[in-house]
Amino acid sequence: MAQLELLKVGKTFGKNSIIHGLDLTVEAGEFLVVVGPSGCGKSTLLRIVAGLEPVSEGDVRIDGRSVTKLSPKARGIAMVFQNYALYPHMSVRDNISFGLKLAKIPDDEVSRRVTDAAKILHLGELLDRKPYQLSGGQKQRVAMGRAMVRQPAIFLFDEPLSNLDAQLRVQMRAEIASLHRRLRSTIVYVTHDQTEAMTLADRIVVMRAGKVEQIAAPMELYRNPATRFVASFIGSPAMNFLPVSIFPAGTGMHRAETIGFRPEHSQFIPSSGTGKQPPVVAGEEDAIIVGTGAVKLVEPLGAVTLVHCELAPALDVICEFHGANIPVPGDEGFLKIDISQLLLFDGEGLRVRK
Amino acid sequence: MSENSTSDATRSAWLFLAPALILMFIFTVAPAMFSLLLSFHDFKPFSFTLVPVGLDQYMELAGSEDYRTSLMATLRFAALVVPGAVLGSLAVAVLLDQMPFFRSIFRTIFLIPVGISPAMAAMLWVFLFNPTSGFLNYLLSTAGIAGPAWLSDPDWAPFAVSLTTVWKEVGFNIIFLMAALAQVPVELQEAAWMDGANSFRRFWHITLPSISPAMFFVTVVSVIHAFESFGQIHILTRGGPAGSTGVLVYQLFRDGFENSRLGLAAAEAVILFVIIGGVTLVQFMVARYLKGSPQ
Amino acid sequence: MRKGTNGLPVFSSRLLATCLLLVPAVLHGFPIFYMLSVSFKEAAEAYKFPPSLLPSHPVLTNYSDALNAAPLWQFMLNSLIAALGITAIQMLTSILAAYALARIEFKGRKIVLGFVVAMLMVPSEITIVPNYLMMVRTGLIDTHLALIAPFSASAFGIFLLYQFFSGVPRELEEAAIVDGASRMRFLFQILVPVSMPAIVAFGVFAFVSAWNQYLWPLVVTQSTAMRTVQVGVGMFRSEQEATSWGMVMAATSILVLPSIALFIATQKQFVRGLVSSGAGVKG
Repeated sequence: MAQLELLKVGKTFGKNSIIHGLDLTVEAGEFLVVVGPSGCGKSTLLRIVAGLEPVSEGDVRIDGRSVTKLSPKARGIAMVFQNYALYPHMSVRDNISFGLKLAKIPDDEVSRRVTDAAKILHLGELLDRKPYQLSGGQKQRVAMGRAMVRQPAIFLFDEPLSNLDAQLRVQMRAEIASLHRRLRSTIVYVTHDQTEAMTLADRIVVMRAGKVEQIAAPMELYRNPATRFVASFIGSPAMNFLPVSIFPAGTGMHRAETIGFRPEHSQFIPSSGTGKQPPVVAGEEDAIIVGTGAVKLVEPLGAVTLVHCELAPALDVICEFHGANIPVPGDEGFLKIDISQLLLFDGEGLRVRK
Repeated sequence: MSENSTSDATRSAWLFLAPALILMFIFTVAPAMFSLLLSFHDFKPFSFTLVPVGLDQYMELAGSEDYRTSLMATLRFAALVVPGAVLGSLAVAVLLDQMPFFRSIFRTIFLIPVGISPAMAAMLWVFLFNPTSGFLNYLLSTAGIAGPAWLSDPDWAPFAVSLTTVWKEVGFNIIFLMAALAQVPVELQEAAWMDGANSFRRFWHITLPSISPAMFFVTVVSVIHAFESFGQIHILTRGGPAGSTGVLVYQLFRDGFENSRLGLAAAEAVILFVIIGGVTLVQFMVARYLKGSPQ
Repeated sequence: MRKGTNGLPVFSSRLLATCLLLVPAVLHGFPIFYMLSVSFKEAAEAYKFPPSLLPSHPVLTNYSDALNAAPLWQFMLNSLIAALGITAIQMLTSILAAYALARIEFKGRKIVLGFVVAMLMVPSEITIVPNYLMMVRTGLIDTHLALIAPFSASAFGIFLLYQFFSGVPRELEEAAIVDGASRMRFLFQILVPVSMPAIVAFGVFAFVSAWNQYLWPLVVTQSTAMRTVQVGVGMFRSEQEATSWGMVMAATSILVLPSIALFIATQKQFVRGLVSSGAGVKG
């Protein structure tokens, strides 16, 4: 396991600057996840770390030594690709040992490492099969085995779970997490799925349009997003944003233009028909009524019920519903928000403290 | 990727390309250019010297009756072979398309002549064409027709050579057209059928237009093959009788390698290059255009 | 009414279609069948008019006569050496060049690609005379090398493999690079095995094309011992009426046999190679 540093890294393709002025340090043994929407440059970043893409500017260092000019092999990295990239004509065993044989590792050592990896990844009976005989999840584990046996300083994962179905993804997430605990390796993991990021990462790098928006531990990102983008990206279902005008004056929200609140910090209270606001409930002194709206969609998820309601034309919010009679589309009700959980953002999308 | 700069990549690339490019240069590009040069010179074989003669050899060809005969022979040959090869293959391809069983057996039968050489095809047919003992004339006699001296009659020799050539080439076209027919969307056919179109109308208005790129390709290939034919002619008729089958390539062979007039042959080669290259170019451009336009 | 795939009337019985197809099929198969038949006929019977379909007393003398008349095995050996040589060198040079074009981003890539496509359109007649002169100059006339050399590179092969290589996912090469493979190693240990179908198809097609050449071997070989199968078979063609047709057909049978056998064995790949020869144009 090794420490990775990126210093003022930039990458341009022709006229397009994909990444600019990027600084990042990954501590040894850390599981770092890079998330962001498509095109934000996260895959390019990973490929730069791998050595598959040369930098246009900046430096890449592993354990303090500059590897910017080195080939992937010389950097001591291993990579797990999105589409597995297994060698189709070779058996699983040969796929895993290919890199080792190229490095002229003696046969008994190769064999030992392959057997160990196969045991950890439950690939034992599959060693003599060919890739086309494997399922997606099995192929991904072979890809991980191939990376593992090289005992690399840094593991790179490029959206490895995107091609798997939902259930498999949950399973593989757990396997990757346990693998990290076991090997204590430095991992850089790229995904567009914020759930994967939240569950796997020691720290998360949120990227947008080639720049880093925030680097922090998962819960820190959740509670203290630095920008509106990070706030909207992290957390599912996504945060609601309202223009500050909606809120009653005098709640101390100067300088803010947009208010964000999470569905889990808000409630839908159906109107009783009397036109009167619902009473304050004990223990919810921080909550205020923000407005009324009509229900557009109800999502009963079992543990929680989500209600999409329309506060104003083109202004929808998602909130929770706690109660016995689940509303139906068309019902009117009040939106109650816990103002202690509000996040304020200015005109540029930066967080404003109260 | 494994190099960290584009100049490294460029260097690698040229190394990989070198063997093929060098060989192509030595044996294709340089000779082509030399042919052009040679065409403006009289080449003396024994002393290996070149005597510049400017356009004389081209003028000689323009005025030569032999060359004109050769040109006529080539055009006549193409006019006989191309329709036969294209329409015949279309008919067979259409029939084969209907047959789920025996398809591969039939396909093999039609395709074998493609796998044998023009020389072999000629050797197979040469006895069939024999005026007295040949099977072809025997077959005709059973129908009451007196068959001609196929290979020694200047009026019939072109037909004989064309027949052999069509026999040999039709399989290639059939394969192509079968592939094209298989790609005609069934929904179009069904829609037309529901609109009340009968079979011939469907064939004419839907099938044919759908396979027209393949038809075009097959036609051009047949034309090019016709212009480049040599082996079967050398064996069947030696270009005769009276030059009736002496196509352009044969004329080139005769002038260059039998009469040792290599400069003249080079001029003929240049002319052939222009003709065949032109046809091929047209084919490429039409194919590019067709690729770009929706069906 | 049942519909056919192309809208032509589907005959109420497939039998009718089969019968219609039988006519051209018989026409097509007949020359080969007849060649075999005549090759087993006694000398006199070959000239008989009306000619018979099958020999009344099959004999093998024509075959021994043919083998004595000309060194048929030598012809086959020459053709084999030439065709194998051409195929091997073409495959090697094409694989290397196609890899560079398909997988390396380098300056001038588009130009080289255009050059290769242009080479596809050059007919061979323009190169015959100068190549011949080159062979004479270097004293290579009447050698195997002369049969092989001018055809050692193939624009068709490069283009065909380029198209196939381009379709192989980039990730595969990246995985190999991360594993520590050099370009060469990736090319021959991974890309080539993965591309085997295309490579084999090209190989078969190149071999058959080389085997079937006529004009160049005719021009560049002089002694009977160096002649190839195609030119050698032409030697049996003579103008005289007194030709022993039985022997001629026997010689042809022997010499055409390898082609037919090879063809039947590699039909699938051969067709693939044929179809690809139009792939770049047809789209």
